[in-house]
Amino acid sequence: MPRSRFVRPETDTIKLSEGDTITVRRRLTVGERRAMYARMYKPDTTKVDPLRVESSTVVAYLLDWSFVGDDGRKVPIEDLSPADLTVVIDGLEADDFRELADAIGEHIGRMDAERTAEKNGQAGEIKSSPISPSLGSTDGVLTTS
Amino acid sequence: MHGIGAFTFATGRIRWGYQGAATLTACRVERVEDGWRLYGTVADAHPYRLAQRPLTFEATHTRGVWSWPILDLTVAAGTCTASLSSRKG
Repeated sequence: MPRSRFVRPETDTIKLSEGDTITVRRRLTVGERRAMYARMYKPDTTKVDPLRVESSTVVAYLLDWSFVGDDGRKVPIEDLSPADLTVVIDGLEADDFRELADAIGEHIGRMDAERTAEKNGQAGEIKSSPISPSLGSTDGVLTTS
Repeated sequence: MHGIGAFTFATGRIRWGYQGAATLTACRVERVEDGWRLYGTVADAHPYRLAQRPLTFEATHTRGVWSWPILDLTVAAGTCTASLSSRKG
C-alpha cells in the first residue's frame, strides 16, 4: 500500500509536574507549520521576533490541558483561536510557561526523531534507480580537463 | 424507524481527530433501535476532512460536551445525516 503523505490529526498527552497534563498535536501539517511560522514575525515586517518564537510554537502544538484557575476549575482552551490561546498562555506564571514550553520542545524533538527514523526506514525500501549512476558504479575513470 | 428519544442542539461539530471537519446547525440526535441517528444542517464543511475516518460528532450541552463516533455519514444538499454509535462523553 502506498504511503500516505498526509498528517493524521493525532494527539499525545504529556505529563507535567503536580499531576497536570497537556494534550498536544503529535505532528503539524504543513499548513499548521506555516501558520506557526507566520505568527513569529513582527507585524507587517519580514523579521522574526525572537520573543514570539516560543509562544508561537506552544500555540501551534497545544490543544488542551488540565490547568485550573483560582476557582479550581479547568481553564478551557480547547478550540480557542491562536490569538485567544496566546492571551491565555501569556497569563501563566513564568516558570509554569517554561515547563510547558520545555515539554513541548521535547515532544517536538521526539517527533522529529521518529519522523527521521521513518524516512530512513523507507529509504532502504526504495527500488527506483538513481537519476544518474554513481561514480562507484562506473567503469570509466573520472578525468578533469 | 421510530425514535425512542432525541436530543436537539443549536450547533454541533464533526471532527476528524482534533480538526474540525464540519459545523452543523439545527442538529437532532435520535435514539433508534440500533444506535443513534444524526440529522443536521451543514453550515460549513471541509470535504477532505469529511472523507477521512474516524469521525466523531460533538455537541455541547449544559454540563459539557457529548461525543458520538460516526459510523457512516451522508452530506448532500446542505444537510447531514449520520449513523452514530454509543455516546462516549
